[in-house]
Amino acid sequence: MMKSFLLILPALLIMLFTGCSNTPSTPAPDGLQQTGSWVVRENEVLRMVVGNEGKGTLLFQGWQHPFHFSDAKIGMTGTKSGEIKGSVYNLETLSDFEGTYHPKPEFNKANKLTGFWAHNDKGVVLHLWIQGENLSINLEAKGATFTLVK
Amino acid sequence: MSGILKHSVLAACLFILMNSSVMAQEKEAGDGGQGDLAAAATNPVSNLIQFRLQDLYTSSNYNVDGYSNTSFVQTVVPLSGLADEFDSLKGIVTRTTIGYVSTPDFDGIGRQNGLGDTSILAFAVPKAAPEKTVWGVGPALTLPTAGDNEYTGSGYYQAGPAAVFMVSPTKSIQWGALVFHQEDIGNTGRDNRVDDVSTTFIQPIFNYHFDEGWYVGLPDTPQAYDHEENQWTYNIGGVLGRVTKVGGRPMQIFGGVYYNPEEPDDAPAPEWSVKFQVGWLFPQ
Repeated sequence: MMKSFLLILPALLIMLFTGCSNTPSTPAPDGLQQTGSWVVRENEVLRMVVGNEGKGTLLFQGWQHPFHFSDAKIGMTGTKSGEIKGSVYNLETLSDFEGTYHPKPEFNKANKLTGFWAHNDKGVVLHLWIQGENLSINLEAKGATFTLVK
Repeated sequence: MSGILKHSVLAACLFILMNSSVMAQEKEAGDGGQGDLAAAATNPVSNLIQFRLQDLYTSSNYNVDGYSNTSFVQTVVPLSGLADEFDSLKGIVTRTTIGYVSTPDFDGIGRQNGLGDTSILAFAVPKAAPEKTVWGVGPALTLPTAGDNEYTGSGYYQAGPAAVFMVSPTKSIQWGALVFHQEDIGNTGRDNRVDDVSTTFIQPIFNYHFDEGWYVGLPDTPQAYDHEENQWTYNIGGVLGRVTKVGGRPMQIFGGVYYNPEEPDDAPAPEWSVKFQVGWLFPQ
């Protein structure tokens, strides 16, 4: 048992201290407080390729909340999909997450669309970015609607 | 000892390589959910499926020679389908822990090894709660999976109530408490059982979360009061942990140091301990 302990100890410490930095590439605008995050898994992204709605998961105050959204279309240029991830800002009360989000596209230096900033009428802001080179996302001008699911 | 050292270095090199590979992948795109996953992992009633391997190594014990060690397997499983049957519930979460115990060197009989008892906590988590607060109540059960081994288990079926509450006033801070009580309700029939069991467990919760999934907090091991012996066993200390991705899978890793200042009159009890955990997280 002592041998196992001595074997595990350095490995654990190295895993702990050499873990990666996963800071989003774009810093949050001033005045925005990140309060949660959300993700749309790859299988749901594939559903969005053929439809304009899908399901995701909001992580807020240590709890996973499934949600449904509509009026968001995904385009796929290759055979490999990916996830859509995002941060949530200024969310204080869970119910404020619901609503219609009006998008503002975000471009990188090469003028390639990398994601969106979107806000609803309760002041909640979503930042979403695309994890996968073969994906493009299009939020309809009227806004994408997010609804929490039981 | 040189063999152990060699294996340790090998394991360390493997993990460096694994982490380097993961870093190369993840620099392509951000992952803002790491801190939120850490908050879920340190929430005792989160609806996040978790599988944990833990090791509690006690380097010194009161009233007995030698170290002791318990290796735990712990699962956290939300019963979403069952919770959906009740409109008033946000979720039902179970936490099951089983340990493999290696005792200190007892006079005349030496070190004893064997399976420990199994602890099951189940919490119903209501939707109705003050803002930024989660709470739950439910049963706590102990199954005598140690069987006839009098050194690693109590020999009793135990049951009692459990309750937890946790407040997250900011994204960085979690505080609260987890409390449960165990009373013997039946025995395995073996002759060499310990005295009747009546123990209350109190686990204060405080975690402070930093960027990139790092956190510090109080021990995840409760303080225990044995009503039969009028004896406290404390776990005073702290943990340093992180939620990070290894091989694309989010993992929770932590290490902690615990100290029990309460020396019993004659019974063995832990004094200084360290605990390590590797846990796999399975977000929806």
